[in-house]
Amino acid sequence: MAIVFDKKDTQNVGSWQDLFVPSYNERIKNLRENAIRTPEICLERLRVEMKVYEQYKDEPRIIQRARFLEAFLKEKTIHIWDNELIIGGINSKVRGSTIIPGDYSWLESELDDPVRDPQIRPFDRHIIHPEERKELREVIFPYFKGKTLADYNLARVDDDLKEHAFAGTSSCPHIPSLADWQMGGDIGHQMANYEKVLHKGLKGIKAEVEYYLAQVDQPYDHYSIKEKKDFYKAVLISVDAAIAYAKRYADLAREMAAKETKPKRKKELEHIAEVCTQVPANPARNWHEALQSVWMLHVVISCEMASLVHCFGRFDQYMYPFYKKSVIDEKTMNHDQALELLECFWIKCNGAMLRSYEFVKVLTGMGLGLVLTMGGQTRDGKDACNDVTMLCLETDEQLGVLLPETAFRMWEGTPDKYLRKATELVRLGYGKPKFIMDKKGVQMVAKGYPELTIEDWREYSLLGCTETNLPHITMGNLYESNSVAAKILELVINNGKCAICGKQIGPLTGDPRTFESIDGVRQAFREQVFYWMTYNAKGSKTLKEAQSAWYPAPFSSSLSEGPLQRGIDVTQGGAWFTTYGAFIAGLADTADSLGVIDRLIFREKKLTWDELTKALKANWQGYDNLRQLCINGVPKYGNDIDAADEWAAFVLDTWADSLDWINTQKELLPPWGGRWVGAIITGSNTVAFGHNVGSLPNGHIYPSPLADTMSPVQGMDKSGSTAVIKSASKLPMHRLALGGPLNLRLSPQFIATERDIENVMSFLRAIENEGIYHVQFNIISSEELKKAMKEPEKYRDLMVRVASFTAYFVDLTEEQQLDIIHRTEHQGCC
Amino acid sequence: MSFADWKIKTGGAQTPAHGDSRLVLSITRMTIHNGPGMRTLILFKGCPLHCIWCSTPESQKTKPELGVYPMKCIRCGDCIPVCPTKAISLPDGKLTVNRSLCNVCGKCVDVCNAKALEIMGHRMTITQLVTEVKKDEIVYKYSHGGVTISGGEPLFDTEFALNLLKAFKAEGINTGVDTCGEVPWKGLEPTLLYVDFFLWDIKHMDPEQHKKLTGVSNKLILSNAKAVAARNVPLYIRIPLIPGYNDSEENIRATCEFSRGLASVVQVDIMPLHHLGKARYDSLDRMYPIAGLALYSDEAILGIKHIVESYGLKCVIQA
Repeated sequence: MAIVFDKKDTQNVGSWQDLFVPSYNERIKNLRENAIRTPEICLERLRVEMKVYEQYKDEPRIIQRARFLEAFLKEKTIHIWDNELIIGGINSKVRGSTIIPGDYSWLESELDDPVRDPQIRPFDRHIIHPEERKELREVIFPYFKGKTLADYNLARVDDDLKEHAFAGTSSCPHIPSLADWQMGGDIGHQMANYEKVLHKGLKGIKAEVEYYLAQVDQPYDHYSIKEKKDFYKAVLISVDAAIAYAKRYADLAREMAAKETKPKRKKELEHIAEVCTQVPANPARNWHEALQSVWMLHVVISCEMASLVHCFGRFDQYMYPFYKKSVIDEKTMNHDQALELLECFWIKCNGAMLRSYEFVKVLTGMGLGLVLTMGGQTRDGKDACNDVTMLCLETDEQLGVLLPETAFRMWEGTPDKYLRKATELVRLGYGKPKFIMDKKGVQMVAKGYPELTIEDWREYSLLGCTETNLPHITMGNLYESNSVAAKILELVINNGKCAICGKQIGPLTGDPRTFESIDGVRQAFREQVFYWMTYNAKGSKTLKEAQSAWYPAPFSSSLSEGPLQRGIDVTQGGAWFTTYGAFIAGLADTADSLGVIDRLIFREKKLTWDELTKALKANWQGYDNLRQLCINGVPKYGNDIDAADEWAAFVLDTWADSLDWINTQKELLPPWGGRWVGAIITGSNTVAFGHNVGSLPNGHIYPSPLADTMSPVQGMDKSGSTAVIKSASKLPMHRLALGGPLNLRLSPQFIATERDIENVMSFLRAIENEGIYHVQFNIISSEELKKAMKEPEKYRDLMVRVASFTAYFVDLTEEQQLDIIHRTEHQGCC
Repeated sequence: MSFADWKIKTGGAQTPAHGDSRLVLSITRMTIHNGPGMRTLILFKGCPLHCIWCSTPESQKTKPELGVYPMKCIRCGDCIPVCPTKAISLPDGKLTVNRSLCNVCGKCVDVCNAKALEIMGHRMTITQLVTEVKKDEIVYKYSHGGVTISGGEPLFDTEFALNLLKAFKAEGINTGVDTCGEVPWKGLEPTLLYVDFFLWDIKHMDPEQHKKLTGVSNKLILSNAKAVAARNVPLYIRIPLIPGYNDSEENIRATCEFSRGLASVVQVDIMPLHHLGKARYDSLDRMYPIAGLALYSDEAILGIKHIVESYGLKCVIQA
């Protein structure tokens, strides 16, 4: 009966994804195509910007911004695409990227380039039509050249900051701490108070604004009366613009309904018209109106601020009353209809953003950073899961689209029912949902918001990758600092000199040969961190001042808590809390390298500084044996060995110390204050940062990628996932309020049967208990196994388990590796 | 017997100096195929059986062995001068050990930074093992897992095994024993109090064939299984399926018939042949006896599963 093992059989391999048969209907099937098609670009925003700011040039900037939003929402092309039930687009295309002024700086050189043109490049392609190319070349580039925020910033930032805070302007592009990301463009990162609009409508907000506007004429606040009045006026213009925008859609739907010949669609369009007449101006009355209202607000926010990461907050919490009303109480629709609408909503989230060739080369497939948080605890510490939580998980399972990113908050009281569904979703290998653990999460938020109470901390949700945020009371300026810990260590070893370009960029922290003990290294590391973070804070402060002056956001302000009460824009410190995010990268490489220095140089004296620096200078070429000693002869982070994990904790503690210190220095913060909070986030920047860091004592070769986020260096975690978890649990995450993700790799066999689902659920509960903040699972696909066959050095830690047999995949012979791939393919049988 | 009694009897995790250590091959955390929940798996060295399909050949001998991995070798040559018996050479750049000269002193391993040479089998004490196993306590708690001792034969040194199991029990850890069953009853019997379940291999029902395939008769294995079942210790019967050797319908049915007679059987695991152990034979310079033997198709495995289930037994494919 047995078949002969044949290599040919393993060429086409599958996964759970292929075994899953979605049950969505024809409408969703067609709409889903919209979410995954190649995006186009849209220039309408630029056309309006060119006109409006000119037209209102004598008005205060905040009024200009409101007028811009008004004009843009009035003039932009609107569509209701076939089959759609939830309507409204950020731009004029089915799936499109909005082009913003700052894009000229790179698009000009990449457009029509034989390799880098967005339509030609092999990744993250965008279609740009010939007439759009012409308009870009002839009208848009010439107009914006030299007139963007980035140009303005470059002209006013002093040379010292240019040299030390911005990689783009520094004579050494490899500086360890970068504040570049907010150089041009608006801030984005809004987590609006959707709940308020669902219950009060925009008209309710308008009434509130009018109330505050009437209060401004009090005699005791005479210094900023004019600014406040302008602010409230701008808010009113924006809110009116949003209401008018929804009305445009209602009119369009009515118009299309009149022309529609198919009775079913005609009815749908009539209903859409009715929905858009009601929301978001008025309170939502049912599930459909609630979804439409949230989406329309999201569209308007995205039109006001073109930048990333406008998140939905605790979606299942504020949406549940409307689901309950429609499906459970009034029974005006059934579960399947509610699901269909949510699927329509999901599909709408899959917009795109055009980025430069250099950017996408290292960071492909990144979406708009829309995160939707679900589950967790209620304010009073009870379980928060509800039918909408389940509906979101079902939608994710059905659609398998990139956005919105879903974050499932879990705590000890999360019911098995929801956790099981989330785990089944993991099995499909979309990397969704991410699991956010309340035990550590609440501790972290407590650090970020010590003034608040536990009820408020329990309300946290995700903004961006993994960053905690208290919805609509915090303005999260997240991408303020990107630091590479490994570069700091390199500077310590070279006494402040960049190993790549040889320039003296950092302070002189001493020739390491003179260090008597490892404490010398610690002290030097600390000095370098404080030096660079200070510059970073200064640079960030300068950019913040310009950004908030250029791009205030009156509409977003109206949906936050604080700005209306204070009469100050959300970008200018109006929100109750303002945070600045400092991202740290290269943690594991730094920790492992410190471990090597400590053990081999100071403790065992097997290695001298001279030998080490020579080997590093040679990028380990010709030092194979020494490199193997550094790799294998010293315990590494990720194996649950205290001696190694303590170094990772040291790195983060040092960073947290520097941020705590900056928060006490008024002159390092913008005039309205705020506080710095840390995160261990690298995204896919590991590749880019790898080019900025020379070779390292842990055997890292320039320019290979650094380890991502909290993960161990690739191939160094040899004791399985529980050991990684234990190592990560030793990090001082409670001091880094923004958190950081931990990626775990699972082989499909690990999650093959019903029993395995139970196991992964219990594993998740154990992780929560250990005090990890965030995990997400990558299910190793057979594609990845094939890659591991080709590049074994990158997959040293890839473990495969078959029955009681465990092996490192790369240690197996080719035939056996193909056997494993074969098993991956046939996992469905058992 | 309560936990408190165990503590008094064993003095907590402390164990007598005699029988308190054994050669350990590996400790794997978070395994899912070795009993309920997620388990830490300890492999010991030394086995009374020498099955021709053994996928962990390094576990058979009781003494440490030298594993050689030429693929990891960076050809630094440091190991050649330190070898007291001149057993190592690098002909054509390929790391080669003359096994007839090697006395497994481990000096080459000490200087090999690339880990191309490795001693298989490290002596570990009960205290060390308990410390290692306890690291995943939280995972056991939520998944209802624990430790599974395997090998080799975990009960090969019954005195050690008894002390080890007592020490685990004193910490409240669920214990599984993956055994071939070839253990004198006198040594096996005292351990039963401290074992939560056995993974019990039945490789062939015919004593002659069993001897041919594993080197020993199955008489003791089967009588032990009956005696353990009579004491009501849960049994997971495991059948390694090797095409052409023990997978005849007759033998499967005989095994099921026997298993059905055991009162405490939980389920029957069938473990289809794989060739993943071949690399380990290579690293020991040993011949892999069943190289190239064809693997099973899914249909064939499901067919066998149906036979097992027809006896009213729960059957799980451990693949």
